[in-house]
Amino acid sequence: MKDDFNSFLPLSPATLHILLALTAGDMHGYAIMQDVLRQSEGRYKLGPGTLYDNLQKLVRSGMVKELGTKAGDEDSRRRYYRLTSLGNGVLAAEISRLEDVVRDAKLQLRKPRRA
Amino acid sequence: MFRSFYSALVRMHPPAFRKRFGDEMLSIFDRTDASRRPAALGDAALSVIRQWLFRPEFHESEDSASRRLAGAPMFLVLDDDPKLSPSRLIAGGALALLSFVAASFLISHGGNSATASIGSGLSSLFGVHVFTNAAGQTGTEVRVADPPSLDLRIVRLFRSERVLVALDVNQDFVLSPLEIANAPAALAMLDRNGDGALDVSECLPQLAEGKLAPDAVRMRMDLVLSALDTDHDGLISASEIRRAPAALKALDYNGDGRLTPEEIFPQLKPLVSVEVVSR
Repeated sequence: MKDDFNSFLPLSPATLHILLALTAGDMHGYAIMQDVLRQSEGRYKLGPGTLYDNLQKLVRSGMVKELGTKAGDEDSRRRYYRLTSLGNGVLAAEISRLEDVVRDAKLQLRKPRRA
Repeated sequence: MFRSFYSALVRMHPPAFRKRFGDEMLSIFDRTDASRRPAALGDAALSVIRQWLFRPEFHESEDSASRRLAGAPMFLVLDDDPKLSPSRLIAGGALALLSFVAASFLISHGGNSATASIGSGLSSLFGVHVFTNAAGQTGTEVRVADPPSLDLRIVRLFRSERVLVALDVNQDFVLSPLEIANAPAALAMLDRNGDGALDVSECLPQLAEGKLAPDAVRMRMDLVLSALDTDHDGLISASEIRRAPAALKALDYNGDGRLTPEEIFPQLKPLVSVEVVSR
């Protein structure tokens, strides 16, 4: 199963941020954009075109599920998206990979530099 | 104004993408601050390019794909919007009516054009033809319809002469070598009184009624009859009928073995430009 997750790696920054946003629960596109802005402390601004390009790929690959509209929503055009177990596994594998990268980077930086 | 531009950019996306995410993109744009709307326009423009050039796998909607996989016959349209507005129906009807009128006009007037004529059946009379004559010479024959109504004149002249109607078995207004060779049998069929010869009343019944001139003169007024009536006595005798192929070949001035309207009716404005290009 882990090999299945690894076949999706590495994730692009946009995909990583979108999956991270969806770990908080079902969200519509605008909420995902706002969450990505919060995660990156305002440094990564995801446009709608980029967001939905990534969402259609994530839905096609099965990492995200499209839920449709919700009754009583203030904007009936909004559709909601949910992280699937595959998406959750891929995100976990990506975090693990990034942790390895960070650990290796720290080890490299601690080594004394040769003159 | 930005909203209109953004809406136009959304509509420029591939139909499958637009149908799935178009409303959501507009929803987000409506909530975007005015200061960030130019950036949103740039994002949408890039998205159009990205979707058309780099996402061909997403161009087909899932509905279309599933229907195609099911093997059901279907019509593909540029826009998969199933609604047909009244304006589209009116435009389609007007286009169909215009096409029908244009086709009717071409069919009724096409016979006057030089080549590619519609409905005339005479296209073989005009254009460029390559021929080889009995002497083995190859040449080109350029036929030009001038005046434009010439083809109709040829039809009228051909049909006015019983002899030509009998000789031109396939009714292509050209006497082929085979038709020339079979001329005796074709002419014999015009012999209504069974005397073995053809007189003016059998060849030119419309002229025989008036009796304005002697038969010999009336026969000589027509090139083909004059050629067949070798002794010019106003009667195509049995022996002249038998020698008809040789008499007709004498009219073949370009030597290609067949008689064309221009050779049969020299009174028409010259139509043919013949050039021998090899010997």
